[in-house]
Amino acid sequence: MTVTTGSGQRRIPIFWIMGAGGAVIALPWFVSSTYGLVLLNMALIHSLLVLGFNFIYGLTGILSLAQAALWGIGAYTSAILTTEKGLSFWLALPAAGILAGLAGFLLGAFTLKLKSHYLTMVTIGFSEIVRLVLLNYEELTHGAFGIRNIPPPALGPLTLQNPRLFYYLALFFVLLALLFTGRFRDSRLGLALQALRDDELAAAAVGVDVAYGKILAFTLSGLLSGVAGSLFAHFATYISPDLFSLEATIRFLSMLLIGGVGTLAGPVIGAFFLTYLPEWLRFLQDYYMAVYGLGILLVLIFLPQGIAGFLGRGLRWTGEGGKSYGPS
Amino acid sequence: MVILLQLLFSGLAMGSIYALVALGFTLLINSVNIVNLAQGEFVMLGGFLIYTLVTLWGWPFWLSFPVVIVGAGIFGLLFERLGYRPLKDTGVVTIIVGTLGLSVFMKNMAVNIWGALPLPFSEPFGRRMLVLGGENGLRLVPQHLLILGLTAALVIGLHYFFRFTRIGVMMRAAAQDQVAARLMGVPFYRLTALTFALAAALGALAGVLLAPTFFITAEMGTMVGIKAFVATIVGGWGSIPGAIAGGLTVGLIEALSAAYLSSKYKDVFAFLILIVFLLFRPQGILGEKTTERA
Repeated sequence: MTVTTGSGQRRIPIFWIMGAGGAVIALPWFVSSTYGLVLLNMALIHSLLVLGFNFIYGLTGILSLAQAALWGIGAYTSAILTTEKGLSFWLALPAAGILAGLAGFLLGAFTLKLKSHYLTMVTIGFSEIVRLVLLNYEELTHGAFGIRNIPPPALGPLTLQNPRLFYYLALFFVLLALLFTGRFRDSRLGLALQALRDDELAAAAVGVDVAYGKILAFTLSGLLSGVAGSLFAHFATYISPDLFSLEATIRFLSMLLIGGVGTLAGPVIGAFFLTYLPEWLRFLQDYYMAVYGLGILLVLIFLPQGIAGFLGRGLRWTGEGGKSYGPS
Repeated sequence: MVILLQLLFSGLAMGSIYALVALGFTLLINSVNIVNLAQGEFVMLGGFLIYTLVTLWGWPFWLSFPVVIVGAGIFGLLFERLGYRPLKDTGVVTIIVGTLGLSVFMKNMAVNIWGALPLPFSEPFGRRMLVLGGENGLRLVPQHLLILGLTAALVIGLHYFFRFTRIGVMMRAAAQDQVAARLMGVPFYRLTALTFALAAALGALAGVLLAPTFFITAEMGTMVGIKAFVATIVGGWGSIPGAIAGGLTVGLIEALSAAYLSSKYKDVFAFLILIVFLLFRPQGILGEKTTERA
């Protein structure tokens, strides 16, 4: 048995990278409608959240359904700090990330000993508790009315109210998260986490620090979701508790599954796909969510590795087949 | 004193509902070791089916009741065929996610079929109250009596089913050791399908019983399902008496905490119970202490 680090990367010609980079940078200038730009930004924020989801579910195989709650903690932290305390966005954003990361840390620490179903249930419970607190702790959160007039981020004299400019801010964080996920996945710790996912007992037997790995995955996932929350609050300028419900978590989970669990590009592909899908499925109208639920099941049955896994398998047709990082 | 008695009574009634749904969870845990996150949606299905038969089609309640339960059982068979069987060789978490997808599907189809407005339903007792002992006496909701009575009868019935009928014994054998049971000629896959049918029927029964105390909505099963799951853990993972004890415990704690502590945070208490149990007594009230059950 041999252990390899990394996944045998091919060299990609430099002009390809430059071309793709140019396209990504120029993208918002080819979108003319404001609504199209909102979708573009939401797709990026969703990407960040799904990358956070991937940290737990993709790398460790733990199904935590607290993603929307962590997102909400980030959004409310940032919104309250800027509207009530007059803090700048650039300080509120890291605060949101840290607080949501801390919440993730606590969640991970409390659920350390729990097996799959128990853990999923506790995270659902956590998610409901957060939602109820956001709804009922009116002194701080304004309850069901939500928080209005959250200031858009300002960079000197330049406010990023313009969705074209906001795009670059969101893009920066998505690229950062992608870079980090890629590096982390192939690092010693990342491999240890994946070993943990594939066989916890065996991983522990060869010396993987199970507790440390799990808590770290939860913390990092919380951090990413918190940053996404802050970005969302200052992009939308209005937040209310119902946005951060279990339903939202299920949406992110679908994005992850459809994109490809445990792959690098999958979360971004899934986030973009499902952010734009409602636009293409307008004709379904009221049946949209029902089709959505059925779609999750169909993807699990027919595309167990998502779009990214499917594309990957297509590219390596003659090779050993699709390489799965996802939980089996 | 009267108020406390009334609270205990309604807490036990609500606890019975949780117990019924928790029994559905427990049966599936024992036979295929999965968690069905759409279990709460069977409750919703029961509510909408009884509404359709009684209110929309004008059938008598006591005729509709068994029809709804059998109908839900058939739906459970379908659920197993479409939702569980294609995924049965994948991981536990994948199956849980699959049931989550079906839960979203069922809820939204229900909104499309029956609308988003809460539907009122008052069969079989209407809005009557039972008053014991004079003006300031104990006021009981007859529906609560029905819930308690039916749950008790059902629990006794299930006990006999698992102990003395051929199918029941086969189900227990399959739960204990799948491979050995199959070698002895137990039709494992057919039993699995039957277990899903039973779980769906139990959920629907809870839905029919719950319908007059709440409105019928697409969301009515979600919280009941989550709390029944809490009951499953509190009572003891995979234990049938545990599911009942857990359901009653959750129901009682919820009723008392809503009355004496805070009604706004009523739903939070159920999760606090869960967390306390997981930390201090993870095997539940009646569970055995085991190490990992993968």
